[in-house]
Amino acid sequence: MNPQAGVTMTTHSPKDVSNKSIQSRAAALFAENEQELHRRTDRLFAALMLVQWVASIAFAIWVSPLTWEGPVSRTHLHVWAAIVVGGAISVFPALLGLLRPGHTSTRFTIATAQMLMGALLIHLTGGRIETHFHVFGSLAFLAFYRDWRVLIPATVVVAADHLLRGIYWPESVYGVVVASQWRWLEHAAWVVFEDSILVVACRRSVVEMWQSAERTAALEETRDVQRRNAEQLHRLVDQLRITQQQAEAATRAKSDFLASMSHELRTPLNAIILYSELLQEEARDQGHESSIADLERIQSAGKHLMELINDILDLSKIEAGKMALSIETFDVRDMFNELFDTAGPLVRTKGNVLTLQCPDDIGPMTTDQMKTRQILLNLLGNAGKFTHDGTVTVAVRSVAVRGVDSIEFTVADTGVGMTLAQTERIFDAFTQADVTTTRKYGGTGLGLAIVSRFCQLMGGTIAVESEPGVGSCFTVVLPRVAEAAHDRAASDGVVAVA
Amino acid sequence: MLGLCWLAAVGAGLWVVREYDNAPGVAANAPVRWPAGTPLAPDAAGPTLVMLAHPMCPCTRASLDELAEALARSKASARTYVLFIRPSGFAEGWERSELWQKAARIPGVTPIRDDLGVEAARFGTSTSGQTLLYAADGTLLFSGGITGSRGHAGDNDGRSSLVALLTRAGRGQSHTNVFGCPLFARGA
Repeated sequence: MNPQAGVTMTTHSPKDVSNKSIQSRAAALFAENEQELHRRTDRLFAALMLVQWVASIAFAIWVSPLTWEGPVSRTHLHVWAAIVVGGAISVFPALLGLLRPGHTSTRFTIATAQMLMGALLIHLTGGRIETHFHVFGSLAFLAFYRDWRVLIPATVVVAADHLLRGIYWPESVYGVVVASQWRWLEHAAWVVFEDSILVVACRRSVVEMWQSAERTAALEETRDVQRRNAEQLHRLVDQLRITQQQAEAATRAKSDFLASMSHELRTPLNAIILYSELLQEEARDQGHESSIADLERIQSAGKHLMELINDILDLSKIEAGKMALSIETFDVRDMFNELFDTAGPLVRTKGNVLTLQCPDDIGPMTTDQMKTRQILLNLLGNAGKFTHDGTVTVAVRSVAVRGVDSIEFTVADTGVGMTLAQTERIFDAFTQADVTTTRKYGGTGLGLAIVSRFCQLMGGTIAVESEPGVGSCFTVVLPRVAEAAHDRAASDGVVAVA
Repeated sequence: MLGLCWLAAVGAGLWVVREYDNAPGVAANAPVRWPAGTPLAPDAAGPTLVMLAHPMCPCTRASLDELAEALARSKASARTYVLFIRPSGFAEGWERSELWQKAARIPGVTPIRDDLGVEAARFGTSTSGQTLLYAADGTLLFSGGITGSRGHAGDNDGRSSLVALLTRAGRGQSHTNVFGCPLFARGA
């Protein structure tokens, strides 16, 4: 019985298909639950039948064990009735309940038998009015089936019992010798009254069962969708993992290739630079002044190419995970003294003023000095390159980053500056502030990319603040002791603020 | 088909039981006047009620219930005897059964042992539960059972007639069927 029967689907959208699937599953679940309910109740009644049978025998033996004829006694007919008739009433439906639970005929037989047992019990108790409650109790018990149809045979049995007794033994049921031929209807009406209540209860229970089945079906559908999504997600994750592995392998291959190629390129390039320098000396010695300018161009182009190859080699080493730190302890102040000897002339070339603000007690660092110097040289080189007749200021101070003792280096200039968009990609490889920068100022576009990766490698950070026409300020923070910040190296990124 | 056979068998069984329960016992041939020679003393000022009972008859339990009900409803102070027969071969005290105790608890009722059923025979009765009502002048007013069937308590013509006669509210039936165990062995 499907309370939703009669509902017609007219569209076939995915949602409708899903609803149809849920309805179909709900119908199956409902039928399954209903069948299980009927089977369970059948077994329950089978046990009840046998208990009632035994109880009726015990009652008959207790109340009327013997019948007497003067001094002679024999077993009372009620005892035999309880054994034989009670057995006939109980055993057949009990067997059906145990052997064929769930069949419609089984519960109809049980309903009939239950009311017949009521009739027998009423008889065995001498028609006590209290025993009539067995009829009403049985009807309520039959409602356990949640199938109002079982009340029909039960009611028919009660009505027929009253009708027949009213005709043949009216005193046994109505207490009068002559009763109206319709009086059985009065008694049956009370049974029907209870039936009407039980029918409503049964129907409501069935609706609740259906709703429960719908909820379960919807839940199953949701779980199914979740399972499918999870499977799809797993497949995607697997694909992603494979793709990532392939990408990593490709990156390693590329880096290996670049490292190899860079090495192969540097050898002949060194020869070109060296020989162009030797040729310049020979040209000067032999007075071939016209060739010197060309040879200088060859040497300059060779050096630029060497610089580019070195940068590519560094970057590829970093990306290939082959760039190792060479940790050593050095004095920061001393490092700057040497650094300024190298970078000072370069910065001052364009009329810039270079100043250093570094406390005398800044103390030592334990990290990769070569890379620290390379970072600062790059920043100073850029500041000198993009500033004309301005100032380049280097400030150094001790700071604590998340409880880690660190050194903050700030390289500020009053140069051309950058926009926010430019600062956001300034640390990407092969990127400069704009396409005209390379033409105007030269450079490979790899310097800041290498700087930012060195910072990460040493567990530090790099950030930039800039404003077009005002200048730029790069801030590098490196742990005073590189190993202490090793765990943060992978997670810390580059911060750019315009 | 099997179900129909089952229904028929059960129906037949119930029918047999009902037939048994509704089969009346042998009616009394009670003397129309208070019998002479009985040691029972009739009430000269009012009706006297006599019930003959087998002390072990389970059907008589309902008769005693109905007797208590009739006396309570009539509110009459009829002198009432319930004679419990003691056949030969049974020791003294055998008659003091649960039914005896039940009769003794009914207000106004005197249970009396009837050795060998002498008084039962004197009153012409042979079925347990037989009830006789004699008027103050010794005239038999009612003879019959006061249950609707064997061991079946509840409203019935016998009790209604008895109440009507006791209360003088009208004329009830003077004879009704009696349902109970035979007081004497068959052929005795």
